[in-house]
Amino acid sequence: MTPLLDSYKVEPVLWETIAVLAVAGACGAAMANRGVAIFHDALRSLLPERMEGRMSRQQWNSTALHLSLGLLLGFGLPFSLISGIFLNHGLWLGTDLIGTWFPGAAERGPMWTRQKLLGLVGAILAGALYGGMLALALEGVAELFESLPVGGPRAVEELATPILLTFAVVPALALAYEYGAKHGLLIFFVTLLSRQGAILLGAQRPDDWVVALGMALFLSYALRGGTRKELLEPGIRGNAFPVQGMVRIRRNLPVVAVLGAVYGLACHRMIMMEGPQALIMLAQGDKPAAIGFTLVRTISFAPLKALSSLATGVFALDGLGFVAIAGLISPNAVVAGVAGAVVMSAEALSLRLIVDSLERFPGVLRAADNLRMAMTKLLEIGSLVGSLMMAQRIIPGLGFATVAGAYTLNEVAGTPVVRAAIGPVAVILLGVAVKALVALRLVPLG
Amino acid sequence: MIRIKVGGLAAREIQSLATEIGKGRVDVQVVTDIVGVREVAQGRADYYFGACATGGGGALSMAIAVLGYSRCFTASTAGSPPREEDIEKAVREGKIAFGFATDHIELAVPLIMKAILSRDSRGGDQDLVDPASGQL
Repeated sequence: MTPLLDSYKVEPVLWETIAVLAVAGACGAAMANRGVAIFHDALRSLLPERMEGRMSRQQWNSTALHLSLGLLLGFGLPFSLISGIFLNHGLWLGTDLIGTWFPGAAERGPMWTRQKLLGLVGAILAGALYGGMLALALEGVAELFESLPVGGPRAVEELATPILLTFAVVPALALAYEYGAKHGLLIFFVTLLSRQGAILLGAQRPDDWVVALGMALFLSYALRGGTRKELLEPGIRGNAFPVQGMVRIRRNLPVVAVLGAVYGLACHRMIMMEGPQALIMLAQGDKPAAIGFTLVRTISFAPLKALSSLATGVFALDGLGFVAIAGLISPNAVVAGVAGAVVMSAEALSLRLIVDSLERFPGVLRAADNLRMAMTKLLEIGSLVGSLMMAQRIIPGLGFATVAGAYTLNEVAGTPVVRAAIGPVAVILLGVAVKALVALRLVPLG
Repeated sequence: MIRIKVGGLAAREIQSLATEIGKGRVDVQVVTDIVGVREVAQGRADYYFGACATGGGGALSMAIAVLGYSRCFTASTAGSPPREEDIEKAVREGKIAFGFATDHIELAVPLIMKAILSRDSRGGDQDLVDPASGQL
């Protein structure tokens, strides 16, 4: 059951990847350095602690490293390396650290001093260097996979198929988390039946229709869910929930627009992308599925990002998530850049409106949490099964055993690598190992 | 009764685990994170638990914004499973909001609950008193 491939995929050439990642890296580091935007959801909330002097530079550096490093190495990089497209996390978790390491807005004293100017220049250069180096690493791993005797670059299809096919279950599972298994089961059956219905009606991409229907059902529950009282009593508004950030974000709007343009362009050229699912869909050329995944992820993350941005005045580096979608659907690079700038500015300006809407529909907050959980759980399954199949294609027998062994050992060790990423990590290591075995002539050449 | 609010991902799973461990000494409620941390800030709840896919990100984002980082503790993140001694120390130091990765729920929740329950048995804030000798 191969998903219908979209013939859209264009391979960006190496210099273009280097240039785009260097610019995006420089942007990310500069934004973090000036306290305009931070990618990491917790560091964003944490930055005011340092800006207001409640946290020392050393404390910040060690905390930031502790919060980011595992996520960067164990989540951002594996998915980027295996798909050949950069997951935001891989680049921007690193630039959060780089940007705040150099002296910048977080230091006491006037906003602009000679030292802070030098800090900004340093952050930009180091961010660009970091982005460029990541581009080279990406190219190196891509070449490794292409040079393997069997499987080769197309093996990523194996990883994509189970991830795509579990998408249809996302809304049903998210509902089950909130309302219990009985409701989940009901929606599950409705969505499965509608999948067969869509096939009978001649739909070539039945999963798209199923996800659309499932999400519509899910959102209708979410809008009715929760009570006004639940949110009003301790209250987002009026009750000292810090919403002072709007002034600061509005003041930074021009730079936020530039950031949006760069990000929109990077997504359009399929050099960067939000979310492992969309990344893997793009890697095998299925753009409609990538758009679908990005949309659902955006719905699930936007409330969190909006609330933390508004509370702190530090915007989310990738905005609320709609820029990635704008980049993907733009017909050309110019439109993608303009759309990115417009969409990210609009996101920044509508933060207050979004938080007010969350007050009217408090069920949406829980719904977003449940949606994130459902996507995570299903990604774990899809990524494990897909990695098993991909490894099996690369080297039959040994491949399957390697991924199964890596997954279970990771569990015993207390999950040091994120569950969803352990499969891809094992596949990458397997690729390196097979390359070595081939070089040593320990594997019969196919 | 120790009042615990749970927000974020897999909140119901955390709730049932914490309730089971607490054996009648805890009241665990699922809420949205922003509501939960506000209640803790107002003293209407004692602790806030939150999980996210990676432990570091969404889990404590709201808690840090509302309670301040000095009252929050990241018990686990992607790449670093929870450690008992760190959690005990955090509870002793009076941290009241705990974040962890969904991967580590089954490891982190029992450790945090154990530390909280033993702090409660010792009489909460009088932590400096050695439970054995009753002296400082």
